[in-house]
Amino acid sequence: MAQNFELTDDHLKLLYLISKYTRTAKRSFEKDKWIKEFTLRALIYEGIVNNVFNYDYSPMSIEMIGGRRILNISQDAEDDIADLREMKMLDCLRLSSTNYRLTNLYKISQEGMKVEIPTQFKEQIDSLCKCPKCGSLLELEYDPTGKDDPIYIVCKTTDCLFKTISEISEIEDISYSTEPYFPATPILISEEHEESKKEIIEIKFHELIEAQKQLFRNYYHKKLQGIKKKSGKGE
Amino acid sequence: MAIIKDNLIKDVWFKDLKILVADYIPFGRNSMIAINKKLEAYKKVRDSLISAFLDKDPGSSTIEISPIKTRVVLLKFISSEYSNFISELIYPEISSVQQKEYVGVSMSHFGRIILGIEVQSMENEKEKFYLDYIPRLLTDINEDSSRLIHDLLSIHQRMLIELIFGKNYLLRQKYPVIISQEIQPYNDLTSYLDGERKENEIKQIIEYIENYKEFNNGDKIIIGTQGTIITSKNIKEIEPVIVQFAFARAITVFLNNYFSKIFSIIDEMKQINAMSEQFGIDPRSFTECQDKMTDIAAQCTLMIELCGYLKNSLIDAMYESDQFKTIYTDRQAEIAQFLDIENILHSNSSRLTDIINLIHGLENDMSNLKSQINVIQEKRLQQIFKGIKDTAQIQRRMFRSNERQENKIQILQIILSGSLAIELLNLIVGDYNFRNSENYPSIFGLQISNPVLWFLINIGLWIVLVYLVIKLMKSMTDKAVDTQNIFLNYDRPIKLDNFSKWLESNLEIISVETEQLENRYLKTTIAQMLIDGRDVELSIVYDEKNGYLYTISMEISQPKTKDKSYYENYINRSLRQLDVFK
Repeated sequence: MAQNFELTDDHLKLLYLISKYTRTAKRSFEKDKWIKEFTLRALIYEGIVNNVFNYDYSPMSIEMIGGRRILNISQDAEDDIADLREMKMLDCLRLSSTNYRLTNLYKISQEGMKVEIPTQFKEQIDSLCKCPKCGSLLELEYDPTGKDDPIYIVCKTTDCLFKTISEISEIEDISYSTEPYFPATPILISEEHEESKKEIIEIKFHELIEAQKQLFRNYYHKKLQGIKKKSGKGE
Repeated sequence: MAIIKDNLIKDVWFKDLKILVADYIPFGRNSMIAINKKLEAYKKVRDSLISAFLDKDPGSSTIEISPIKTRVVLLKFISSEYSNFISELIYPEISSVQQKEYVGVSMSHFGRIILGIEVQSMENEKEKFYLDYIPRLLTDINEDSSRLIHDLLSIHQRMLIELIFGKNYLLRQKYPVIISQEIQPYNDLTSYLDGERKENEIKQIIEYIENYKEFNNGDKIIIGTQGTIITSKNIKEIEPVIVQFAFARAITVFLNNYFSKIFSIIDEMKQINAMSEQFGIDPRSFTECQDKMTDIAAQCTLMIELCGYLKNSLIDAMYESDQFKTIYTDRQAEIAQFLDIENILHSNSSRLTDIINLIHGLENDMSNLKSQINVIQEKRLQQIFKGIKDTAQIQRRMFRSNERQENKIQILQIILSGSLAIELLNLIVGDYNFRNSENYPSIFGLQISNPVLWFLINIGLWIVLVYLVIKLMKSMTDKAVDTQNIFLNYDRPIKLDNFSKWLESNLEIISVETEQLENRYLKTTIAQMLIDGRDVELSIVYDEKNGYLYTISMEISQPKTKDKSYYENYINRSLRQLDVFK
């Protein structure tokens, strides 16, 4: 329940960030404005690398219209968004895109609007989402159907041509060294099995599949009996 | 060391870390044989470099290939059953980040791919393997293993994979299992599942937590939507169970993507449906629609093929599970029960049955859409034929009208020629009458006293002059007309063999166009032939499947003396000679 949560600094910053991009219609002819999950994730990533948010991020496979992409996503931020939703400070709308991929949209709720955000946090978020040239809100520009196309953060004001690449899709390599590992697989095919296979070579082709099945049954039966004897479970 | 922009909070680490990644690939025994052959299984040296690169210029001396390739060392195999090998992906060393990646790969004939790594060091740490680095390692392993499998698969298998996972098939999901002796710093599992930071760390690897358990012997399992973490002091004993579980989940991942693909096809079909309504408005929409339909039909065929592979794999996996269930140790049984392997496999089977129903539904929808488009196409074709017939009829009417005009002119010419002949004769003979013998008409000194004879001479001269004038006019007309078009309408059944012979023996084929409808294979052959020394271009429309000759249009260059019927007769005679008509 809402009262069980205590709003952290990151909760407040997140709430303010979402409030910058969303709006609730006050009259019937007005329209609600929502922020897309992907845009929010990209802004959060930029916030993490610019020390605005105190979150971790890690690469995660995300389904997009053009196929899967690996993006740096913050599970801490995802959790905080869930917290804010539980506190009824965020509204979430689940929407289906043209190719049936589901996406989430977020909007600050009436409850969320009541929260006082410290000026210091506001300044930090403003530095993150406002155009350094003209002060308008920055937006995301990318081709959702593109395979490896860059994701841009742009200012869409007519006179301002601010554009920078978001590194949300750039996965940092780590150094590591590995050795091959072969876990014990359920099928342990023996030489005996290989020899018994030779017996069916003469069988006509149309009988081959049935013979293979029988061969497996025999093999498993023998194997079972052998193992049961060894483990003392046998007859 | 890597440069990570984030100040990672390294709270959780593993000891003795192994990672197992399960993948499902549509496979059969023949594919297994092909892979073992590709790995040169029967040769003495079982260490080779492989690449998915296709040599498109077999005749060339040298070849340039990307430096990224896979080194494979085969360990064990049975040609049509399985193959165990070590793989190493070789990249050119351009980064300061040191990566030595040897992966153990186990491929089985029913599509089970198990990739295993034992981590020796990670970011220079050899004891503590921090959880924060694991997603980055998994991303690498996932992409590299996809590349490795891609290198080994046949073109057809690659096509099946690309169909389901799209352009970014190298980033396709697999199912990882993180296996470790210990997870630190806490001993109890609940400390990690705090709903906050610790749990978020865990979620970086396995996403949303589905289930978890701490067993009496200290084994811990956390099952997530995108992976599982297992810690155990004696992992060897439960490895076969983990492999079964991971493979069952890998099939689930594949089915999820397969299901998404079905919806994507349904969406494309909706687009075609919408496009078919534009046929009358946008002339390009029909070709686009046909192209899309062909593409979807090909996709559906591959989807049905995939169902077959999935079915066989599930039968094998379930059979294997049933067999091994009977010989589980108590610990294995306990783990298998918690991992719910049997239910996952059964759920996958039920999903497959549902998918098969969906695919059949999709096939029916496709067939309906095809029929709908064929009806529209038939109508379109009928309109075209009607248009052609109407045009031909108008042309014929115009021809007849012209002929009538020509006849009128010819009658006028005859009358005028007659007048001219009489005038000419008068000019030569001068004034004459038959009442006075002195005024009898005379030609070249020969007097003609008989009026009947004189009349006959007049008529004779008239006929000669008419003949000469008509001949002159015809010759002038023939010279003025460069080409003549003749349209022959048959709509008759033909003997295809004889018709082919006729085409081969008489004509020089220039181009052939085929239009395929549900029941008709309309072929339009443009050809050339020589008739009486004239170049004649023919456009022949016939149904090459059902054996019907529809039309032959002829364009005769400089027809000169021969008239239309000559060419018509020539074509009909040659067709009859080869007994073309039924």
